[in-house]
Order: sequence, then C-alpha cells, then structure tokens
Amino acid sequence: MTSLVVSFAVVVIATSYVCTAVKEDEDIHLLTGTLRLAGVMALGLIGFAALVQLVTLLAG
Amino acid sequence: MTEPTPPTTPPATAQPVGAPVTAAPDPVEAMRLRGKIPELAAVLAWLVPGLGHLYAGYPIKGAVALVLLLGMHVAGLVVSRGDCVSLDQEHGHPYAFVAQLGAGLPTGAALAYAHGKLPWQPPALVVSDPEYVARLPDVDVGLLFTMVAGLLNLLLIHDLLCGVPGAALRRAEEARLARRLEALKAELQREASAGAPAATTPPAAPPAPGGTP
Repeated sequence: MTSLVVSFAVVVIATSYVCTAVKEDEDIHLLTGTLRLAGVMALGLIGFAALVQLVTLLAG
Repeated sequence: MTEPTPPTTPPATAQPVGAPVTAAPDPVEAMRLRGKIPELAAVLAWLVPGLGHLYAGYPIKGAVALVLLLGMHVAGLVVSRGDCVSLDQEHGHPYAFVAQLGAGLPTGAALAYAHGKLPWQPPALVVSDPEYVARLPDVDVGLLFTMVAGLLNLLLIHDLLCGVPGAALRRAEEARLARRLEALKAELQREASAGAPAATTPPAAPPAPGGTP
C-alpha cells in the first residue's frame, strides 16, 4: 500500500510539474500551476478509481 | 536565482489604437540571440532530463526536472534492480522500451547493464524462480517510473526545440485581444459622438395660434 501511494504521488507531481513548466515563466506561477494541476489530477484519479471500485462492487 | 526574462510583447496601452500590430518575438530566435542552440539543448535534454534547460539558461526548470525526472528514472531502476529495462526475448519489455527511450543516458546504461555489457553482471534471471516471481511487483514499479520519466522528458525536449516559449505566446495573444478590444471601444465612441448632435437638437417650436388674416 505504501509503495502504491508513493508511486501515485511521484507520478502525479512529476506529470503536473512538466505539464505546467512548458507553459509558465515565472516561478510563482509555475508553483501554483503545478500544485493546482496536481490537485486536480489526484482528485480526478482517486474519484475515477472509486467509481471503478463501486461499479465492480455492484457487478460482483 | 531568477529565470531569464523571456522576450515579452509591449503592453496594449503602449500602442496607439490603429497602429500596426507588432508581431510576437520568435522564442527560437530569442534563444539563438542569447547564444544558445535549441537543437543542442534538445539533445542534452534527451541524454539527461533537465540538462537541456540548464544549458539554455533556465536553472530552476532544469534543476527541478533533473531531480524529478532523472530521480524518478533512477528510482525505478533501483527498485527493479535494473530488470525493468531489457530487450531480452524471454522477459524483456520491448513496448515499454519505446517510452523509456525518452531518457537516453539512463536507459542506455540500464540496457547495457541488463545485457551484461558493464563490468557489473546482473544476476541470471529464471522465470520460474520464486524469487524472480516475488520481485515482479517491483519490476512493475520500475517500469512505471522509467516509462513516465521517458515520456515526460519528450515534452521537455519539445519545449526546448520551440525555444522555451513559456507564457510568451499567451501574453502575446492577450495583448492582441486587448488591442482589439481598445479598437472596438474607440470605434463605438466615435459612432456615439457622431450621432450625438442629431439627438440633442431641440424639436422645432410649434406655430403660434391665430395666423395672419
């Protein structure tokens, strides 16, 4: 479980940083954009995973 | 350490309405004027994630990319003990290798290690070995990290080939829209002032009752 959480966090942070770095100049915008995108990605992925679990539970 | 200020377009208020629109400066040309070669920066970025931005004069972007992407790639290799990068017929990962190629030097070194080209020989892998089977989750983590690092590095390489435009293009578009808005406002004001005299003329006085005999 720990490796899953760590892997998830690392991939989300790296992806959000690179996707923000290619379109921002100033450091403060880079930081806020990265944090915002990381939050959106994390919530979106967790929500999608929860939906899949729910559908699986209902189907089972 | 602050990032070098990219070439910016003048604000909308600095240009009079109706003046010819100044084209946004080309980020690639701006990089060449600074003495940096975008193609060389892209090659350096492919070799080591983050090195291209360090060369191009973006120390913070380069340092963070170096730590994140190279660190993620190396972490994947360490967790999987180098087993996640391999073109071996029996337990290789050819499709994953395409994504891992995004980071040239770490992937090349790992491939050389996996195929015994380095002084440190990897342990012989036997698919039926319970120890190997027990390590498969770690190999999955290694595959994830190395593939994601390679694919994200492709975005950074593309960013360098485009001259690291950053927010310059967005600012140029915002300035263009602001000038267009100012031009429309000025046109509306001209039309309003042209139609104002007719609207303010008082109506003609009605004729007095009782005309001439």
